Amino acid sequence: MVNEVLSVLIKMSNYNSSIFVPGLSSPVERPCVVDTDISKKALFEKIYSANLQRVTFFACSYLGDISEAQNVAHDVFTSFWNKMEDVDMERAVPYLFESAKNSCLNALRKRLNANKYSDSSIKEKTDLLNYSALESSGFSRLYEVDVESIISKGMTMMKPKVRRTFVMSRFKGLKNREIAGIEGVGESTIEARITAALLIMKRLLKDYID
Amino acid sequence: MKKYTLIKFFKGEASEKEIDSIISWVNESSANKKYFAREKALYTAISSAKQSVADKVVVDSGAAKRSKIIRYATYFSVAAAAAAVFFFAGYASHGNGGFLNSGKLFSSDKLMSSGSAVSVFSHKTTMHTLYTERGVKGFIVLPDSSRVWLNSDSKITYPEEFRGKTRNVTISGEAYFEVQKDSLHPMIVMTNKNFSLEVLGTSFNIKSYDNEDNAMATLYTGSIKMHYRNVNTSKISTIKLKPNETFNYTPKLAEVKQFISLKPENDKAWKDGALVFEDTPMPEVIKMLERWHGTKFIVKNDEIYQYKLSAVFTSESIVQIMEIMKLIMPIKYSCKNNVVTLE
Repeated sequence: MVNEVLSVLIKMSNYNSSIFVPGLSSPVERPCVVDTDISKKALFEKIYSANLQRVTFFACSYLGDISEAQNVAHDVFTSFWNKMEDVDMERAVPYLFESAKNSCLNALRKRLNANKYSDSSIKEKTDLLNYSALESSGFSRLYEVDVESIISKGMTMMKPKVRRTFVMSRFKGLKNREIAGIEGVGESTIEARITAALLIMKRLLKDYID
Repeated sequence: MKKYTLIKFFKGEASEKEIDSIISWVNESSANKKYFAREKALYTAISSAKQSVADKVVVDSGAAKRSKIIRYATYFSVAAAAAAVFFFAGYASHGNGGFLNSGKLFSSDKLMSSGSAVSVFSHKTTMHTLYTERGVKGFIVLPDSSRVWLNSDSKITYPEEFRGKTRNVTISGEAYFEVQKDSLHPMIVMTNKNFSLEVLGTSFNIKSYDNEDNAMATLYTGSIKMHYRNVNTSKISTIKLKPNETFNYTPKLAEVKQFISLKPENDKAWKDGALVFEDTPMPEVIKMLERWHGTKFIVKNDEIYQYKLSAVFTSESIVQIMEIMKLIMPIKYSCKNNVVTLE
């Protein structure tokens, strides 16, 4: 099923012809071609390309493993494709994230129950905390907003030193120690600045989270 | 609870002591638990937007690396017109046929709105993932010049750049590797079945499909070590393979078989466009055909599962294959909408 979804996407995103003429112009040579509903595919593709990265990132943030996160994303979009007729398209994004949340909870539960943690129990404790955070969260509205523009807005509200530090940490990926060196201040000053930056962001986002 | 401690945890940088303190703080009250959940959700949302904001904010985006969108790497480049002809003829024989323009890969990168691969805690390493669907095979050159052929319905994840002591890639499905020699930085091939291969400079075939219970790998040149977790003891065991040896691993039964392969080249025959069956039971034949051609099979007569097939197919279409099979075993088939029904 996933492969059908993915093959639809190859066709949609890479070939201009959006009409399936059996026997011709089909880029993937299958002897018999399946006839599908064009508008459903177009809508799906739009939602898929707008949300795949966010869903995957979300899953990876709670699971700590990129390929498990990709599996979650796969499952989420596959079930979305299958349920598209039943889902109100206005609520598509919250649906995706609720679906991702449940998928992640299942994955974490499986890990915790299987109890196959090796040497360090940091992984187990991390999973426990992430499970707790996930089940208590009401966050699906967070992804309805344009987080990008909120962050840009937040950045204009920051004091210059804070903004500079935030940019270095977020976008340049510098470690706190490195930033401290560049700015000529102590590491705890950098930590405080980053905390201040995140506080501004959270205040802007607070209406979107329960 | 210091705010920054939570942030350290979200970044994956917290020490075990710090994690312990977070756990006890969260357990103190449901208010703390709720607070923790909110902070994590907010942090995740803010971090996920980082990539595209970087584009809008005027900064030196040195570290905000754009991952290359991997275009279709064609094993054979075939003109569009020619493709239509091949389409009708099924898979026309063309020397190494079977790949044709099925050397198509698509990268998840291509479908993401921000055009970047998913990057996780490390800001600097972008990971690429390539999928091949059923009926499609692929080929990729890794950042260290190692070459990997992917069979149908397979996936490989690798970083844009190999850094650190080992070169790590993850695969599921089937792949044939020709690994560039680098004794100082072994390549670790991780799988979805709790075992990994450590290789230096080698060529080997590995098969580990999600929808199959067991996995196997055959070594051709060089040497590899296979590390697997024993389900019963939870300890990690290692076996070493010599050229032309195969191991077969069934995680559920905690069984590892290591043996010298009589015909090791059969395991990598798919790479050269050949589908080899040697006394292969029909359930396996059907599974391989479904993957190879991307068709679905429906078997109406259970007796068919008892048959065994010995044949080699190179670039026959599914219809041609069914015609041949009709000659060697008592079956009837019909094909409609990419579904083959056998009786």
